[in-house]
Amino acid sequence: MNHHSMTKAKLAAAEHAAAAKTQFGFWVYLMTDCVLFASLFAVYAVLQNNTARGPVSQGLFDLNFVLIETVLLLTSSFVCGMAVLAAASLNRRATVIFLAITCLLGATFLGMELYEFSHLIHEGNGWQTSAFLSAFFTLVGTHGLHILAGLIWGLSLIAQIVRGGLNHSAVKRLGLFSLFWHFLDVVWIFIFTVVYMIGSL
Amino acid sequence: MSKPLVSDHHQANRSLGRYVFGFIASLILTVGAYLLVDTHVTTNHNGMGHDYIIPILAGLALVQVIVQLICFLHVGQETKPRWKLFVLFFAIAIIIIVVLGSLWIMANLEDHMVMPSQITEYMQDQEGF
Repeated sequence: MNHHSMTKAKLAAAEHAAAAKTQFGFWVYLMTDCVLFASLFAVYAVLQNNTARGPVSQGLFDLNFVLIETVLLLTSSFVCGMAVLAAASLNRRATVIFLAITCLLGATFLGMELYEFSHLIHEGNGWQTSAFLSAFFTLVGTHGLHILAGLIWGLSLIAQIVRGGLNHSAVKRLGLFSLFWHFLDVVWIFIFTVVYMIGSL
Repeated sequence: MSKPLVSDHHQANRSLGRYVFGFIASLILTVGAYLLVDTHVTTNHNGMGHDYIIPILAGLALVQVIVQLICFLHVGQETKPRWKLFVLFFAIAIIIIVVLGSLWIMANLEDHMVMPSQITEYMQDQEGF
């Protein structure tokens, strides 16, 4: 019995160490993703004033619309943290509900972004118009693609937890997903400030 | 058996507090930046000049990034060999080099650029090159 519990403890410790390694590997990926976004920000900053015959950034964006988008994404990030806490206290129902709210808010955010894009294109301000708009669509669109990937990941996590419960691998993946989702919110702070706020001045 | 459970509960409460604080602080910082820009735009650019507003906006963003890194991404809460923190600082260094370096080089290039009209003017003045 004693021997059995010891191997069990050893196994738990090994699992914990493996999970910590996975988390670190994922963190390194997130940091390289930061560098990707940094290069897109650099492109945007350089090309910002090269508007050709297209519109300038001032007056192009609806500030109220962007504020709602931002609050939605921020709330989604917070609710994702709640899902992690619910999983830590082994509350399966709450974890699934919080994850579903996270995905719903994320999907609304993405829908609003796509609406903004289609509105811009409809007005004749597509990515072909000027270097400024090319850089804008690339930067904001890359963030949107990440959100889409996160939504697919979040939905598959919900399916995994509903089917298999809060097992070790599900909790580990939820931890990685929350890092990814919070990271996207941090990137959005820069987009919100540089593109939408400073760009509207 | 009951002791680790109690401390787990305590820790859960603390991280809940951290999430709530991060959420409220981020909301305030976001709405603050929005109000600053919105009043500036609706009052037809009166009041503070860009030289003041842009550093304030950058400061608000920086504070929010730090708040979210600590409250949501748990930066600095790992135990001693702090590899995550090390990688983060390395990434920040790369980001600064990429962004500021690009802006610097491109601004420098633009300084050396000559507009086509200037070339025509020069040629007319000098009667050719």
